[in-house]
Amino acid sequence: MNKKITFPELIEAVATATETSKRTSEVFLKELFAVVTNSLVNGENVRIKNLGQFKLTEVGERKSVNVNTGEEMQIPSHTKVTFTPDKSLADAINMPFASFETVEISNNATEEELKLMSSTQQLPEKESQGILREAAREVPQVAADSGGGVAEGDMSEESYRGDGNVAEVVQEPQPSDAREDGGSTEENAVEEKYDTGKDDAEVVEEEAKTHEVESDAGNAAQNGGDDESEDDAVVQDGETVEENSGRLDDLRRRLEERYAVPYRSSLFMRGFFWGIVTMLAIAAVAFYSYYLYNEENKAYNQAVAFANSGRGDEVARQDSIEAVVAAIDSSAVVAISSADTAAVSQQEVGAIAEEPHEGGSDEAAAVRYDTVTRSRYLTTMSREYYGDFRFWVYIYEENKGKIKDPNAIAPGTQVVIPPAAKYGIDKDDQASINRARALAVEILPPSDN
Amino acid sequence: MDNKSLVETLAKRLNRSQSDVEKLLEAFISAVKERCGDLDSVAIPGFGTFEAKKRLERISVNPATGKRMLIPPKITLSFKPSALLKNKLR
Repeated sequence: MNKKITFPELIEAVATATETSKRTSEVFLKELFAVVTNSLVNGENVRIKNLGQFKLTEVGERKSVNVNTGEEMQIPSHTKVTFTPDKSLADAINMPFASFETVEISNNATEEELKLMSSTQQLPEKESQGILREAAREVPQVAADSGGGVAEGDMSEESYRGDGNVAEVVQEPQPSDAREDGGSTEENAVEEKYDTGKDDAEVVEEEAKTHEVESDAGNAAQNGGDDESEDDAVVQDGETVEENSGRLDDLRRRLEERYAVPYRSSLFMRGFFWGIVTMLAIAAVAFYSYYLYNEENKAYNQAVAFANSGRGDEVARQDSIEAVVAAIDSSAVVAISSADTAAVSQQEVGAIAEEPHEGGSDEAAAVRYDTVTRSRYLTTMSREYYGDFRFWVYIYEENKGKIKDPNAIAPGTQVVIPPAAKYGIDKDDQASINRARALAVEILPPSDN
Repeated sequence: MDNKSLVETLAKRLNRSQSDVEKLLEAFISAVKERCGDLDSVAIPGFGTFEAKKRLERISVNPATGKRMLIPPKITLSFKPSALLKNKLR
């Protein structure tokens, strides 16, 4: 990267490629450029197959100013050489960006749309700095690119804040997102995904551990109940979760390998990868919590049964009371946590189910609720419920009390989705979109950069 | 001067067969391709520097239709002639 290849290095490269001595390739290269220079001096253009054309162009006389003295001076007319690379060479060099295509922009597109477009195209490093601010507002995940260290720092902080709600963190890298981002060539996307992936894996590992502890407590409560097989199953389950995170590790490693040559790797596979990784993680957590929920119920019932049968025997009764108390404690904890997970996954399923009917009129009549996450913003919801992201302003209006800054909503915030009729939302009506846009300008005055 | 006459001249001056010269030329081009593909620059003393440059994305307007197009970013190969070559051409 940005290294200067000197002539000796070039000679060596040519010598090894052709299996000739360095001397031969040195003589050849020197002769080559001597010949090219000669014919250029003679006023001839030189075309080299697969490399390009060296062309002479006349530059007319022009005036210029000496920068140091401020004196005006005349630059006499002269010829200069221009180089046009051959198509095959130009394409080979532009390969990293080959997937980009020229996009037509409609004439009434707003600033925000433009920025959105450019952020979905995901520009590398410095190029994306300009849109970074906007991206941080609209697409925080995209914004966490290697160039924007600040944004990235914010992101990780946010994710740690969200750790309290494990299920939420797991939910974040939604498969749909992964696929969406997979459409771009950017290494940033990979890096970012890689970050969330890491978080994800950590969380899953943590989950597995806590559940193991809890299930131990549950098993202790069982006491007399000799459910060795179930016990094994729990441990096994914990193992599968850990195995999953092990697999995540493996994927991560493979991704790192890919990351070393990001430009050459296929875009599709990247998106596909993350889709699978996320699905695995979600499935593992959901299954595990469901299993635990059942397990604890069983433990509780058993403990009660044990208590009933153990009447008359003082020691046994005391034991059983302890067992019941322990069972109630642990099952309460697990019930809460699994209820959380279940609620979130249900919500997710609901969201997926709703997507096909977006904009359905009967649905639009009811007031709905949704939760803001790191990958689910007001614009996402707006697109889902109203068919156009610009109507996010109405969701904001409805939830003004809870949201201080629409650019920085804490993940986990529950918002009310107002019925479309309340604000006259209609994605096919230009006037309605214009109203939303005007409101957006009111809420977020355009900055002057 | 086209590619064919270039190869001929080189073969004569080097006392080598044309296929040899073509092979060497091909190796040189692939070396440039490889190095510039990694955003390195290849400097040839007395001639100039081949350099890969990143171009920013931009919005351009078609003056005929007034349509605005978002031109994607790209990497182009540029050649910067050395001072020596420039002076020879003057």
